[in-house]
Amino acid sequence: MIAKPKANTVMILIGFLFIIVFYQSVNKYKIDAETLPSYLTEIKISSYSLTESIQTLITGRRIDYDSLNRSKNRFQNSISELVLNRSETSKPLTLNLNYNNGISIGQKKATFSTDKLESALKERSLIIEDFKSVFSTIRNSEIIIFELLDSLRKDQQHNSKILKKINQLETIVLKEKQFNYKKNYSKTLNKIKEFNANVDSPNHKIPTNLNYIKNHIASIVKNGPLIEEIINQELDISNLIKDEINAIEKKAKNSFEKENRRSFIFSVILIILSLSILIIAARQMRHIHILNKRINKHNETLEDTVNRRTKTIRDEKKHSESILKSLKKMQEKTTTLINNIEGCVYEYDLALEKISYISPGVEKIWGMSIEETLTENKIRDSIYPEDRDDYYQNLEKAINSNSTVNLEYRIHNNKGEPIWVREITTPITSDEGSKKLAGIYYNITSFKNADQEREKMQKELVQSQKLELVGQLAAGIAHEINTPAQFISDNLMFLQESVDEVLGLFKNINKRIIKEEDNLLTTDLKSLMDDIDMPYLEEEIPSALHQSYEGITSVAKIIRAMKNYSHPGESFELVDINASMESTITICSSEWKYFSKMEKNFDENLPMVECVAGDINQVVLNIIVNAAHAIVEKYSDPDNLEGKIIVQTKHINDSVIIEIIDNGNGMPENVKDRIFDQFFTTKKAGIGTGQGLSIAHRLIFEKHSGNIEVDSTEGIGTTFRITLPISQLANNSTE
Amino acid sequence: MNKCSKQRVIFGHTLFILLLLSLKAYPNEPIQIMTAPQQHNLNEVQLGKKLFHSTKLSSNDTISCASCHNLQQGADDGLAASIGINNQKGVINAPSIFNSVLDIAQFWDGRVANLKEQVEGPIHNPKEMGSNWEQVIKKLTSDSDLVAQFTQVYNSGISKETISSAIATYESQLITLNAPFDQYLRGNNDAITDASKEGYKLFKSMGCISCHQGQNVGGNMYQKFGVMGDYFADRGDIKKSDYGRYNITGRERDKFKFKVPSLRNVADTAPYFHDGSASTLEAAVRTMAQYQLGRPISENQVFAITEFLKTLTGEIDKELLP
Repeated sequence: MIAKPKANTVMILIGFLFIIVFYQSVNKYKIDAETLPSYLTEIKISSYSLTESIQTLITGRRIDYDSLNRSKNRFQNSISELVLNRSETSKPLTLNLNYNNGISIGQKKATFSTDKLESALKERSLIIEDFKSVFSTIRNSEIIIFELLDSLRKDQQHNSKILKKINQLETIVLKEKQFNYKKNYSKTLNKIKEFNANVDSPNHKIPTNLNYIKNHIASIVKNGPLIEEIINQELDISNLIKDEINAIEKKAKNSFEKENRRSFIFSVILIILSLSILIIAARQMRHIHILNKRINKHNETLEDTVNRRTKTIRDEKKHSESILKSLKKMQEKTTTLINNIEGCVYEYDLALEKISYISPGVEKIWGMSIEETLTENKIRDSIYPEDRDDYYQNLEKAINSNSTVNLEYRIHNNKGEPIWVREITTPITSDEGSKKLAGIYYNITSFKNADQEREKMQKELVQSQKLELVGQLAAGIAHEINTPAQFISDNLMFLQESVDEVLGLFKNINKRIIKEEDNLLTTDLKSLMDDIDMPYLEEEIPSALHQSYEGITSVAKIIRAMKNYSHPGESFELVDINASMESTITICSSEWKYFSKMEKNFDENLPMVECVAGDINQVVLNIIVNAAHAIVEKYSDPDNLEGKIIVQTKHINDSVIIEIIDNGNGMPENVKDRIFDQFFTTKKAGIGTGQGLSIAHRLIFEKHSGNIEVDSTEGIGTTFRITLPISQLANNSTE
Repeated sequence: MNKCSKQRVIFGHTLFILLLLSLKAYPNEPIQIMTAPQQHNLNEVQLGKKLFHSTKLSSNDTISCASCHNLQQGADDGLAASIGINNQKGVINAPSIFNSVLDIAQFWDGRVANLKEQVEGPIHNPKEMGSNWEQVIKKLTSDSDLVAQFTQVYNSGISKETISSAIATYESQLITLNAPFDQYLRGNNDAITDASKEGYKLFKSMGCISCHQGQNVGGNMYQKFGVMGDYFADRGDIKKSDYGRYNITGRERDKFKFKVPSLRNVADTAPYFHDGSASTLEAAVRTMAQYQLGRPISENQVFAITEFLKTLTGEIDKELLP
């Protein structure tokens, strides 16, 4: 069933090929088989009429070569017409054979040689010319013979014998001419010779005309066979032409018939081919028809089933479509949810040690694309090194215990910024059985910052409460100390003055004793005085008193300074910075006075500055303490007092500048950059809280709209410069 | 029915009378009336006329076709042999070109078939025009009027073919009509004298007619000069040109054969024969009688025949003359 249509196609193709090959072989030529007979007939007729013209001339009376020439020209033209129709003169004549065998119409070429015809034409032309010349001569002689015979008869009227002979001769000539003049003029010539013999006698002089007649007869005798030969030649050549024409005709006919036959056979083949194709097609059609019937029947039953099936399928499809739709919707929802959620959901493949899924939120937190996250382990690498150990420990624990873990750590995002991340992750076992972590990352930096802020505030609050307490206590203590110190001081003053008087008294007593001779009293007194080593006392008591006084004064001073320092006031007021500096230095003198010198370089004309005195004192105290520490670190033997702290104040424009310069060990760059950071400290835990300078920075920068700068060279020293605006008015107004 | 048969009888009679009349009007004579030439394109004829009279066809611009074929004098030059460029004397008598289109071939020896082929001959003959096609075409092209005339007639302009064609066309128109003898043949008995009529009779009875026949009174065949006598032996000094057609065919029987010349306008074309040996018509007739007819001829007969020959002179269309 499959091969048959192929065979049909091949057959049809073969059929087309046949047609193409056939028509390819057909070309157009000048003469075709239909016109050829007319050409050939014309040649035949003209050839015949030429022969006839010659015959007419021979048998007729009239001599006129014009008609002969016309016949000759016609014949010549008939041949040249055929010959000139060749495609090329050098090639043989080519004819187109048109045929129509009732089934097909077509053309076929056939070639013929016309060489024979052409040469025959040339030869015939010459023959005709010869004929004209010779025939003219003969005709001329004939005319002249009769003419001369006539005149001879006239001349010899009286000679009956000769006259008789002449008449005889004339009869012979006429007879010869009438029946067979061509062949038997020799006979006539003999007769003339006989006649001459009869006439030519001593008695009779031969007439001149007879000689002329003789000549002409001789001419006829000579030309008679010639003209016969010419006529025979002409007949031969005309027959030859006739034969040649017939040959061409026959060949053309044969070729034509052959071509006709060929095309007939071809056509029959073509018809058989088409018929067989038709039959095959018809059979196929029938077969197809039967098949169709069966198929239709089958189809009917099938249709019912299909209809039923289709319905169910359609319903199912509808159902599944709706499910698919809702699924899609859900998926969309989920995707939107995941994509828009603050934070980032992920799945970590524990076997591959790789993140297998991560939601787009990762870009918000880490600033890196999902691809980067998936291909490289960038997320875990970004964790702060100091947080990593904790992270992995906790994670390990969570995995082992199969429990959810809440991790918090710092990372550096793509730009290097510190980010706090909270990760809540749960170990899960996927459908395929592989162990995974499902978790979520949050950016908790803002919360963390807020926490820190709160913590800091808390600490500060505690600190300040402590300080306040210390201040209050200090104030209380100072007051408590101050009062006794006051009267101690007063008493000491009184004692000093009194001791001098007492001692003067004793001196005078001693002088008197010495002046008085020894008497008991004097001796007693002397020994008593000796007992108490009076001279020593005399010497030491005043100095002791003095020292006591000094001491108590110092105490009073410190107490006062403390009172000043712990001034509980938190409000802005006009402060004498120099005085403030003085008391601060004093308060912390215990910190520095054993290791370094203190140089105070105050501007005497410093204006009152609007500030919170306690804050400024605290800041400067901090710096001085730091400076003292730096000096201690630098100088192994601080007793030499090589260390030096300079505190100086300046007034520049609207600002007051406080500079604390030390020649301690200074700071490295990395430390210098971070000294104002909260919790940053280079000191051992317990010694420093890392809060001092950060608080200092905040107090000066934020509270007083001033500035605090540091200038430090490692190994040489550090300079802190605090700039305070004289008036807070401008700042307040802007706030 | 009656009426119908009557008509038939009348028709039959009329036909018979007409037949008789036609027989009377066209007697069965060996010489036919000259008829007007086939008409050709007038422009072509005019162009041919111009070229025919143009000396540019010769190498030194001295000789034209008309130099040797003077249309006023029987279309030949009246010389035994023509004079070419540089006064060179030719070898043969210039034939008349009147009615030459009717001849079987051109030149005395018939070496070319027609007038068109003939044109090339005198142009290339060093003793005649002594030129060549290239030269001629170059000269003619310099004449812008002529070029325009050529392009008007022929698409191809000036060429060997178109020059030949134009001249041949012009020459084909040079037919002499209405000769007294033609008028006689038409039935005008008074067109020619009695002597002429006698001459015509003699012309036929003495055998002249066996060669000089047809419309052109000759020109339609070749004949040996000296059929009944050896003309050349008698004349002596045989030249190559005397061999005539033999020079063309190479056949022994063609030796001394020439184209039989037309006798129309013969009175105007002295001297006669290919060698121009006969200076008068009478001499020519005598020579013919001796060598061609092979018979005696009386002076009366010569006179009569020449009288007849003179009636063969026709007229040329004036338009064709320069």
